[in-house]
Amino acid sequence: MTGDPGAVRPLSPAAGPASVVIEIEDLWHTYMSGTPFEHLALRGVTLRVHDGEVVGIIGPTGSGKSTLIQYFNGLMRPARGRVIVAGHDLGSPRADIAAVRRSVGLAFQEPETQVFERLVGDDVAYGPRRLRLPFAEIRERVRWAMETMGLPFEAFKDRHTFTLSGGELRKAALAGVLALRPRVLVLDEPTSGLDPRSRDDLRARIEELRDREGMTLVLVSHDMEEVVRLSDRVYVLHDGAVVMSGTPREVFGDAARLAAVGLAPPEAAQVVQRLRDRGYPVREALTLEEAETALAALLERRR
Amino acid sequence: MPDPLIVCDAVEFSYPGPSSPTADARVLRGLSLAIHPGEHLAIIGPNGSGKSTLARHLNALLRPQGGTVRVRGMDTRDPANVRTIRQTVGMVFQHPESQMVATIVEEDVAFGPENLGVPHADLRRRVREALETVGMWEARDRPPHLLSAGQKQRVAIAGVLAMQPECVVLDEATSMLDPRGRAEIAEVVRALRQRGTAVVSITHRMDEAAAADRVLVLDAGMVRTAGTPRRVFADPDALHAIGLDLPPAAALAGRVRRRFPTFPAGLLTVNEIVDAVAASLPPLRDR
Repeated sequence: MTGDPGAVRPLSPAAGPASVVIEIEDLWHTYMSGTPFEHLALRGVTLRVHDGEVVGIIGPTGSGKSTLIQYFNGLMRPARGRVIVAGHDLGSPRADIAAVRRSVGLAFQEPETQVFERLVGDDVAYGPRRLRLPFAEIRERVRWAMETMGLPFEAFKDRHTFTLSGGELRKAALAGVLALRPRVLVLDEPTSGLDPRSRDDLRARIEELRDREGMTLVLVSHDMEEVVRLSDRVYVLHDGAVVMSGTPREVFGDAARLAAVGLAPPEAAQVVQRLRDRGYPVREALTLEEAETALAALLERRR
Repeated sequence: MPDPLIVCDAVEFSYPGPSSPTADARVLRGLSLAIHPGEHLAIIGPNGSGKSTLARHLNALLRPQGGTVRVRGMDTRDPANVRTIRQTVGMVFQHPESQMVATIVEEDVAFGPENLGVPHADLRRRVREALETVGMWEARDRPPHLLSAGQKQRVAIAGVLAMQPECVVLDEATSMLDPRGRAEIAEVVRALRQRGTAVVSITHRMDEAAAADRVLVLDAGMVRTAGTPRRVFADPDALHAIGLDLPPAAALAGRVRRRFPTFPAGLLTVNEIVDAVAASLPPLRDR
């Protein structure tokens, strides 16, 4: 764990330092300022998101995650602290907020509740139409966004939105944000409430966005398996402050500090950590596959 | 075994709306099950399998179009029974805000019994007991909207408990909660079990289902299987076939067992696996 949560290595040494697309420095936020209910939601948060990386943000409810991501696309403007998104300083009254919104797509929790068009294709096209893009480009973007989310364009564009399953509707809603072709996609609890198959399917789509499209992603999630699987780096928020940051391996390797903020590593990692705590010579593991290999090596020794 | 608390017998239900002559629009298709006093039953199933529709039948929010649902023998289709049935079986939903009415925790919990005309002294006792059971008595003077999501959900459960139900139905009550919030609700469920209150949890989280006495797997409006968590999760292929999964710890145990056939079967939790691994290794020498 580094002392400065913002200091990160370049993503790949060959590429040189990746450019920073979201830069937050010493950001403070107070709700209901000057009332008896005054509440400090963010206390000096510093973080960075680089082009092409997946940043996970975890933390208990009320730790400031939702407040923080509203700064990412200019829904909030800093009163104290610095927020620079895609080169635009949100603290400046002349900041081009429209350009910031085009750069960062925000998919809120349960985005399917915001699906309102009758046909799937129309709903996904809503954003690009508002951008007044040429018809051919709108169609191309809608096709790409739907296919990327696993909704084949021809099969789904004329489907009534109310005939979709919960998982399909969620994917259609996310395709609507994707069709804006943002530089950064922010996903707030993308798989909550989905059954295991729809959840795994959507995670695979997000993985493809990362690996095939090289898209910059910010993932806010309560599901530690999901954060481990998808993130390059993780920030842990607690009481409005960044209390841990690093690779998933660094963050989830420190079970004691995680527990202090009410979080825990994935179950497979917990099994291995408890055995290590008891003194068994087992290799550290984070994912299910790693835990399987580590336990196998340990059990092999008894023969 | 004592008489069941709730009996669903060949229940059929479909939502009103345009129906196509070919497709079967029934959400529940001849579903039968019994819920016993004091048990913790988890209901799992893919999206659209009818879980929430079933939950709403358990306290007469919905009434069966075919078959019957009886709560303590009372038919949910008879309007004269509805009031007693809703006191017997309480519901908690995914979004606790949707069932909060007052500006102070204590008043919110008192709302239900107050409407029943419960005398003042009894009312105060019920509210205190309900809030203590969920560990929120200390927060009784606070406005609900300033609580964490897990705390709000605990207050929502207390509001149901103040009605002194025999059964509490949690309909995806933890799906929006963080890990600590989920642990808090798990603690409340244990407290309810100790009081002898039955709990029905409808959940997508297999680790939660693993903590129940009995798991019921719903698929396409019918009961696919039911049994102890150990039995239900012993057949991962059957679960995968309908889009369900094992609890993460059980998945790890299954993988280890595939490599080492002598490794114990049916392990569901982190602790069980740790103990099983330790037991199959020679004792550690003192260092």
